[in-house]
Amino acid sequence: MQLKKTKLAKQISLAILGFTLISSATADTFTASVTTLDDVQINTITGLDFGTNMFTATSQTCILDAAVPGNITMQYATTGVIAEHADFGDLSGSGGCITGNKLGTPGIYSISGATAGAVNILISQVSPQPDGDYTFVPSGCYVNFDGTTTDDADVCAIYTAGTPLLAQELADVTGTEDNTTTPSGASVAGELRFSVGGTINTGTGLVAETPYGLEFQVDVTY
Amino acid sequence: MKHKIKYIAMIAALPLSFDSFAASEVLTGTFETIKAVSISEVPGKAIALEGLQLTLGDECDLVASNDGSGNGYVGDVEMLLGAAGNANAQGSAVTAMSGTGCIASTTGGAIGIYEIDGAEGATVTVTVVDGQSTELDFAPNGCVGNYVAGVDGDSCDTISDGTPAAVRLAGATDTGSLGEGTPVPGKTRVALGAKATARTALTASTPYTVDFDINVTY
Repeated sequence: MQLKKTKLAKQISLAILGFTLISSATADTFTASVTTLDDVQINTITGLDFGTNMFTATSQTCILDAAVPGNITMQYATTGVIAEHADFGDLSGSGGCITGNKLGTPGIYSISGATAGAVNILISQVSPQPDGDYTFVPSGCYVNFDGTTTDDADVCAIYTAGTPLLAQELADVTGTEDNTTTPSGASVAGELRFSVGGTINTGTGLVAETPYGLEFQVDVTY
Repeated sequence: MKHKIKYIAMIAALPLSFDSFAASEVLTGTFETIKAVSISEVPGKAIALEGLQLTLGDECDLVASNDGSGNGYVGDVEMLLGAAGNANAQGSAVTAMSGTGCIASTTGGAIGIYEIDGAEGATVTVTVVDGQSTELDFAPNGCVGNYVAGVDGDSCDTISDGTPAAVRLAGATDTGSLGEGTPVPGKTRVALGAKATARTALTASTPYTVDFDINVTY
């Protein structure tokens, strides 16, 4: 009779053990975080200005050269210094303006965002212009980083207004984007610069000794 | 199972957030039109010839310099020029009349001076067009100031009907250092003598006028 009691006790213990195992299963909610990319910004470094040089003659062109600002201004590195070209800022054209050396001031702009992020850039003309029937087609160069530190192939490449520049890399972490051989002109993390000159066609309504505004559009997306 | 749902939800949200990572801006620039160009006669400096005889075909010459030097040059001071090399004073024959059918005189003529006003440092094309009236043919010629940016180096370039001159107006930094004329920003001057020829028999002691054009364009 005593033995029988013992068996019963073991059976009860096993039964309790079994209940305990069932109650150790659990479910909980965990939190993960996702940080978004730095927002994209466009900043003006130097404003665009053709100066006081425009004639009032109708349908004439005036061209401001902004093709080669140099690698220091544009913050990229190459195997050698790319100096600002002698004709950077020159005005030329057929009867639209006084022509000559350094008469205009090309615009310099920076796009800032995520370090090493890739962006699509579109620089395009705006029509109509704010103060008359003249037209303005922007032109210049943008920095094309190659994203490596082993060579120095970064360039300021010519763009065409209205043509998208796809998957352009913003600079790597400062100090690693191809600036080992040319410290001056070093890139800045998350930035990319572009220059803007362009062509004005005078239209029909310009008045002597009068200031006019120019507009162009820049779209940047990741 | 709850964990899996969480992760899927997060991954799905990520691409949606890309839409906010865009910058679209209309950036601005400026330009300004230059001053309109004009030309006027310097007060008291109208061109005048004296001594023409009365027969058809008679001609009188008032010889003005076409290179900024010589006896027919009105001088760097009058022309507001900072010349090259040395200052050029007024010549000794700026009022002299000569020519077949003209009573020679050292005092009868007056070289005309005309002032162009426009944008500083701009280049203009100056054209002189011969004039004609019922009684006279009139062929002006001379020189027009052409400025080199900076100190000195300015010239007076030949101009006549059929020989237009492209010249630079004085700029803000143009000066003369040789004791010559003083450039005035945005200006240049034209100095003209002329040849007058009778087209008909003329009347004695009678003033005749004839119009001619000076055209200036940027």
